[in-house]
This record gives sequence, structure tokens and C-alpha cells, in this order.
Amino acid sequence: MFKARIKADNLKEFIGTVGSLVDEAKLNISEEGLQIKAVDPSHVAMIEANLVKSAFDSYEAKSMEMGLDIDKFKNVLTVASKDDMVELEMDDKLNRLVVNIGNLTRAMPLLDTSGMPDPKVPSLDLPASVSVAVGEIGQGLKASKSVSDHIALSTTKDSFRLVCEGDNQNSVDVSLGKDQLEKLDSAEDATSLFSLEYFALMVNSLPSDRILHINLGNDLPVKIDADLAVDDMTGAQGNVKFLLAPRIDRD
Amino acid sequence: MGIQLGPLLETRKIKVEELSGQRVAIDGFNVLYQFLTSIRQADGSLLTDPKGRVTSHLSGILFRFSKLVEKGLKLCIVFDGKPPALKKNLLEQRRRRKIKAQIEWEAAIEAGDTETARTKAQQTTRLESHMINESKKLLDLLGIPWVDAPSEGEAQVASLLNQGMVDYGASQDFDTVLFGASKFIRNLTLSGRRKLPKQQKWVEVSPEIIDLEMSFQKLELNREQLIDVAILMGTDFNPGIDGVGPKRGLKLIQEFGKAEGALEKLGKEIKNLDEIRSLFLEHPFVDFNPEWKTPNVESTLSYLCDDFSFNKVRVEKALEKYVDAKPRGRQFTLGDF
Repeated sequence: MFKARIKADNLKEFIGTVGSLVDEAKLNISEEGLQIKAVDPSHVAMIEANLVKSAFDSYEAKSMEMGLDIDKFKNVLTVASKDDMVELEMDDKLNRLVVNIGNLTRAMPLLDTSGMPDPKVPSLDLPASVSVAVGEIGQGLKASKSVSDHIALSTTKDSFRLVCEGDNQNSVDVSLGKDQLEKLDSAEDATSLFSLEYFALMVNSLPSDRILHINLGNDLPVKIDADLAVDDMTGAQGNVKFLLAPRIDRD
Repeated sequence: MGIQLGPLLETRKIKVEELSGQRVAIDGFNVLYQFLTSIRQADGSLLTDPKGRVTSHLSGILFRFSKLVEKGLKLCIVFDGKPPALKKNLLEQRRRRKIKAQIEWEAAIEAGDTETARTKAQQTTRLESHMINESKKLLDLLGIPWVDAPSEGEAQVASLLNQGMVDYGASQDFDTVLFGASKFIRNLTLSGRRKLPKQQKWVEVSPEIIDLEMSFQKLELNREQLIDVAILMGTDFNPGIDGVGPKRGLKLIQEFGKAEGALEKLGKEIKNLDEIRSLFLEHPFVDFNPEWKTPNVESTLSYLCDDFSFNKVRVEKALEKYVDAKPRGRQFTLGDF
């Protein structure tokens, strides 16, 4: 059984981060809250998103799995404004999720979860970490899109850089010093190259004032952690973790 | 020519961009036939230079490959060698069909029926040895490595894959999986809009990856058994059993484990069964370590524009894509870490 009530904003954010990578996902429901772990179809990126019970106005649940059409779910939530309340209820009989927003009731059939993999999280030792607001790098990512399809992230002990190099000497370079960063801890220099599309999708799934905690290595996947369901009074009631595999120059 | 294994296999549509930095071995005969079939004028005649020499294959290599190279793919072309003796019947059939199509093409032009003319013309497509040599010369100039397979090109593609010399194979022929290609791509050089034969309709074609491992899991078969399914349906090396398509073939092998049992049940016989199997399982190949070089712009221009009268501006533009193609790094997956 599952029945919960939550502010639209918090649910949209949770589903939106997942939707940046996959169209379908398995929602794990427990007495403590919701969790989605998913890997994109080409196994380049992975997400783990959690929303704890306290993010909800009311929450009653027994352990269960639910196959969600994330695209459809996102679509349903677009009708809700930020402060609307969304009610979710599992309809066991018809195997569907019933979403109530104001006077609107939307029932969504659930998907078969048997084909949805439980992604294995690689164990990584990433030497550099940097914390930066989404807004600080958003412009750089936007500008890069017309230049190339890949972006290099690098840290030194004094700065965090995003460099995108394209054809015919086109390039975008964003360099952030310690005063523009929340935190920087990079004893050794670290650089890895990533698909711009994936990286931008992940970053842009979060609001511009959200802080990204980025862990970086040399030619290693990047790990990005951020808070979800942030409330000025009570703090974060959830979190998201992204992993993105790098591109590596062969020659 | 392409056994219909499609419905049995797990495929995933991809964007060409996903293959950036990946080394892809392309079945050369397959792709040259594709160019010669599709790069034609409205009435079906091939592109030629003022001397009447065919240029469709060169045009295909320069322009269509440039779109892949531009996205960071590293191409390696594999040409067929001597066909196995068991393929003789099929090749003879194809030869006769082409002669018939040639006559029908000429008749259609006579009658002013361009639509039929084009279709018939495409069926006459012949890959001649001078075209192969011209293609190889152009590949050399463009810095794209190529290799002559001792026999079937698809088998050579599979061996390059299994030896880790390339990351993907590319062909339209599903036979490639029978030769053991673990990761292969269809529609790589075709993507975009494609006309349906005999209709004024276009469909959007995008490249797809065939995942052999996943397919085997889903079908609960191993490679030997998939080969047996194919043999029942008919391959390049045998005509197959009447009325056995992918679904029935799969069911038979799932039930009986191998072709012998299925044939006994059907009361049929397939000649040279073991020989056909070993053509797929133990096909000859050569060791080859592909090396990618920088394109020779001057010589390419001279070859295509001076020798074959290509438009210089268009060739220069295409060549820019080869020159600008910087290594963008190969996309790894999380499973690699």
C-alpha cells in the first residue's frame, strides 16, 4: 500500500532529475521514503534519487516496487503549480498510480519492472572535490552547446574550469576561482572529458541556486551530489547522486 | 543477402553522436552496394564522370563517410575475399536476377516509367573490381584503414571485434551476428530519410545497435543454436526449409535444441549441415591492426576533381570534415569502471 501527499515542487524536482536520464524507472517505496536508482540505456550515466518521508505532508507506505513511466509522470505534474499539493495513491486492483492535483485525478498504469535493471554502482576513488551553484556554470554550458558536444571539467588547487573545444578554433572557457566556489579541495590537478549533452541535462534538472558537489578524477567518471526538496525551515528532505562516465582520448 | 533475423534480436536505436571516438569496422561490399544502389539519378542511372565512368561509390565514400568521421567515428573498412564454395548457387541466382532486371530496366525507360526504371536499375547493381580498387585508393587518401578478408567480410568484422581491434561492426546483414559479432550496428550509413520501394513514402531510419548478449538471454539460445535457427530459415549457404521463418525456426530450436532434431520432426533434410555450421563458427580471417592517418587533402582533390571531375568546392567542403575531425575521446560506460 502507498498513499502520500506532497508539495508539487518537491515531487517535480525528484521526478525531473530522474527524467533527465531515463524515460522509465523503478520506484522503490519503503516506510522511510522513495528511492529511484536508474541507469540510462547506453550505460553512460546513472542516477540515485531519494526523497525522505519528512519531505511529505503525509506518508503511509509498505515496501513495494513500482514501474513508472517517468515521461508521463512529468507531464502530469506540469499542470500543478509550485505550491499545489499532489496526492499519490496506489490502486492495487488496477495496478495503477492515481495522482490527485486539486480537482484533477489522473490515473497512470504502472509498468512491468522485471526488465528494469538494478544498476551496479562502481566504486570510485575521486581525488578532487568542488562545490558550486548551478547558476555559476549554467551560462557556460549554454554557450558550449553551439561549439561542441563534449566538455572538459578540471580542477587545480585554486580553480575549477569548464572547457569546451570545437572545430576551427571555436572554444568556451569558464574559469571559477575560490571566491566563486562554495568549496574547493583539489590537492592534485584533475581533468576528465564528458559528453556535454549528458552533463547539461543533469545540471539543468536542478534549480539555479542549488549547490552541486562535484567529485572529479583523471579520466574517471564524475560524481555529482545535490540536495532535493530543500526547505528554508527544515533543510533538505532528499538528495540526488549522478554518475557520468567520461570520454577518454585514445591516442 | 541478409537473413531476416531482425524480429529475434534485441535492438536499441542510437544517435551517431554516441559512437564518437569509437572504432567501427564496416562491411565494405555491403556499404559499396548500398552506395551503388542508392546514389543514382532519378531514372536509376548511376552517377558518372564526363567519360562515362561510374562515380557513385566514390561519392558515397567521400560524402557519407564524412558525416560519420565528423562525429568522431573511426572507420575501418573490410572487403570480402573469395566466397565459400557453398555460396556459388546464391551468387549464380543473383547474377541471373541482375540480367533479368537489366532487361526490365531498359523496357521501363523505353516506356517512360521512371519509377519502375529506378527500382529495376537498383536491382542491376554490380560491384566491379575496378570500383573496389578505386574505393581502396580513395580510402588510402582519406587515411581510412581497410583490409581484405580471406573470405566473407562479415566474419573478418567479427574477428576484429572479438580481438578488440574495433569497438563495433557495421553492416545491414544480420548474418554478421551468426559470424559472432557481439556488438554490431545497422543503418549506420543510411540514417536519415529513406524512400520505401514502390511507394511515394519516406521513413525515418536511425542507426540501431544489435546486442547479441541480450538477444541470447531473451531467446534462451546460444550462438550455435541461433546459427541452427538461421540454417532452417535459409542462409547464404543453403536454401532453408519451406515455411520456416524466424518465429517457427526459433520455436523448433527451442524445442529440439539443434537442427537435427527439428529436421527429423519435419521429415526434411539439409545437405552439408556441419559444413554450413563451420562456415559460421570457424570462418577464416586475417590479423589486422587498423591505423588511422591524416587525410591527404591535395592528393584527394587531385584524384576526385582531376581524374573524376568532381566539383572542387563540394569536395573541399567534405574534406574539411575529415581534417577537422579531432579525437574527441571515446565514450566509456559506467561498467568500464
